Amino acid sequence: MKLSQLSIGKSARITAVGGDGALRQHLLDMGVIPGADVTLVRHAPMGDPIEIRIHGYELTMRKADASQIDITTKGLEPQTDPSEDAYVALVSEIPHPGLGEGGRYHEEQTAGQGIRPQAAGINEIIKLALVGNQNCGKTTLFNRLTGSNQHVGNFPGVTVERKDGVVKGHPRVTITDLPGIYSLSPYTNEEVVSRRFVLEQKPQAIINIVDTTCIERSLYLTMQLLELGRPMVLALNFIDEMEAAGGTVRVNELEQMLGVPVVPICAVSGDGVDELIDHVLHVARYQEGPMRQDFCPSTGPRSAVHRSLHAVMHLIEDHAERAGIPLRFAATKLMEGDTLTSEALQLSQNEQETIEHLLKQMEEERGMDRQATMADMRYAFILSVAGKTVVHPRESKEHRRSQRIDRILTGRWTALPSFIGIMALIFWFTFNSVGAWLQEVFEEGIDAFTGAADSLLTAWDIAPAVHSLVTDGVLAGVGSVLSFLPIIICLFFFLSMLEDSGYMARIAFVMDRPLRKLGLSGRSIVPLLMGFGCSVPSIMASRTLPSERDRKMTILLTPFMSCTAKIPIYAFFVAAFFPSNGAWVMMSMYLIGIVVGILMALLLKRTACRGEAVPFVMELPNYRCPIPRNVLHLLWEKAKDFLERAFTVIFLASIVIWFLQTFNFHMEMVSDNIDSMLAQIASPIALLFQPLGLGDWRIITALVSGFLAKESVVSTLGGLFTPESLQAALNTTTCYTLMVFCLLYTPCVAAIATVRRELGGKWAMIVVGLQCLVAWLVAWMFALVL
Amino acid sequence: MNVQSWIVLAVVVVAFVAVFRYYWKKQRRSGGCSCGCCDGCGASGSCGIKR
Repeated sequence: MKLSQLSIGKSARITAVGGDGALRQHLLDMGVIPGADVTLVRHAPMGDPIEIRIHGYELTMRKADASQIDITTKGLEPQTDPSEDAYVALVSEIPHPGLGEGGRYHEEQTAGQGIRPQAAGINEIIKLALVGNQNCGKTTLFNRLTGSNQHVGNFPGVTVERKDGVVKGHPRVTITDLPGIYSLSPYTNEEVVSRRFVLEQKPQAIINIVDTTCIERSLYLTMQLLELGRPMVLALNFIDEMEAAGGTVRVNELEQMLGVPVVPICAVSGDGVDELIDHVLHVARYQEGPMRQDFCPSTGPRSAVHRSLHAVMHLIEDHAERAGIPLRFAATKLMEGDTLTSEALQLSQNEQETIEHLLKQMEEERGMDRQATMADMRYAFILSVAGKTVVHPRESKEHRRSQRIDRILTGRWTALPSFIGIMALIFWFTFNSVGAWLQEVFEEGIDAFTGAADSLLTAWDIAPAVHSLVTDGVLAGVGSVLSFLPIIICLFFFLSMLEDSGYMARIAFVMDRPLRKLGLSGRSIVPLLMGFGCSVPSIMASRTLPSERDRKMTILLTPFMSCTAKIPIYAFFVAAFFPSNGAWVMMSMYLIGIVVGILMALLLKRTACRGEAVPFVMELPNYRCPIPRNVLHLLWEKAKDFLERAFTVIFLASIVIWFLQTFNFHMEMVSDNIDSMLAQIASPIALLFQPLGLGDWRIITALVSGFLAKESVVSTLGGLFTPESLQAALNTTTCYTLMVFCLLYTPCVAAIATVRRELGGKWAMIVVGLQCLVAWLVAWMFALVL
Repeated sequence: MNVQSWIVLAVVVVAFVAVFRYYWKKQRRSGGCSCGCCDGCGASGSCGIKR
């Protein structure tokens, strides 16, 4: 029987994991191994993908991938292997102090491989690495340790690049927050960042943070980190949540079995964090590595792994030393077929063949292939350790709550209406209710200030040119943009709610099937939705996608999602031309962006991005209440960013535009700006826009300035047009055409720079050219139809 | 132009130069990121800035 055939609510045991390549390795790393018990939780609304529960957490995968996993529904009683107890020695009396505490130090003769007993000087700079699964609280702990305010969220893959910080109270200790990984076999780009850092930068110590509520899966990465032999401390995060549900972890026993200090913490409240830092500094200063690295039993059915692994270790010892890779880690990765390790070791043909013989013998004895055998060996150890040290809780209230909410938000008939309803509510609150009301209040304040400044300048009898510079240049430019701050903050507030609550991951689950028809995977929805906020972080977020094709396609489509910087443009025109049905016009812009994005996706699927979307394997986190501090911090950062842009790039652009439109090439002040330098420069380009009905040089100037920052379009229009001249230059049709062009044309320079960083200069140029072309064509079609 | 006009003009010019210098330095520091995303929009440090 296949996993895809299992009925909802039923449980089964995995007997074989089919498929090949990186996806299969990823599934094995995530605990989908022969012998694991699995329960089918639900199907996505369109029947695919499916949500399963395995090792105490929820995982989603497509039916096509599930159909490669064999299961049996017979004999689901707990499995025991008497040989496991032999290598997990339960210590009845735990001596104190424990590992990593002052007063207890590794003795040189007991130190295993990789342990360097010499103590680091107290003034030496200590480099720490923060490593863990996705969404286990790494960045929350990083913020707690360093006092930083890095962005956190409740979906897998918020952190896509390493971040460094100095530990509070320890000026000579730096810590690096790494993207979440499930194992040291890299699956996505950001996982490569983590693996490289741990292997190549060689931090003095590692803090391995684990999600205690699904400790079995988390310890899989722990075991690979132990194989590196680096000093390490295990931080048990979410212990509060586990204890509240009646579970606990026998910390001292776990510490003895793993051979590294174990500290229970709560990264959100800060409980246990001081103790954690004391322990990690201790192991880093004294270079106390793990007390054990050998997890394979020498007796029983799994002894085949032990014999093969140790044989391989002996064989490659000299190569591993030359390559600077910890021996045990090199051997296990080689046995898993890790090509990066294999290349680094530079084995001879003879050695490769010998290893192949050893692995074939192991496969024959174990009755499963090498990747599954290695995963099975690790999970057998983990389950044995967890069986002795973890008191599993009853179902936590967070999980119960998540299941109840998911019955509606991911239900077969309710998921899509819920998604559309939530998005509609967000836009309604932003553009027609709270956001619009706040904007009016803000606008009145800015108008009052501008009026007061105007009166003051008149009273001081300021020269007309200077008066015009201040009122028409600076105040009109900056003021016209500033008034949109409340709307932008409002939209970001709702987006952060989606992200922090855990709903973003559900959207990916629900939308996977529709997106697959466009050639994308469900995971692409996260960057695309973030694109409604700002294209820059959303382009960066595409790093969580495991295939280059999916990344490229998502990046090319993200700029079609209307970012918040375009809101001032829409609001400016809506106020002038569509005052009675502004919210509908605004929403139509978002819809046009989405529709054009869909059409582009279909086009790309058949041209530049041929092929199938990558498999969709993602963990579904429990819903959590957004932390007010995080939300407020995000809003403050957005507000600060917007204000900074208004008072830097918009301020500079406003003055430059004012200068160019006030003077001619002889530096004489012009009475009519048709004679200005700006008109002379922009007029030839305006010819290109005549078919759209937008042949006015002032409009072209505004569009060009939008390349710097989209808000600049509004400040430029505010400086070049009076309300009367704007009504004369445009009508409702041409205005709507212009809004469509603004929606779709080239992203701002920051977004282009990000595309260049992610895909290279060629693709950045393609994005600029493609977007301008698409914008012109779509706007032209609207000009014809309307 | 009267004295007040010169004063106002000087204030605007000084502000322009100061903002330009700040903006220019920030661009160079951030390696081309002009939207302030490295400090502002949640992608802190993502374009390589070490704050």
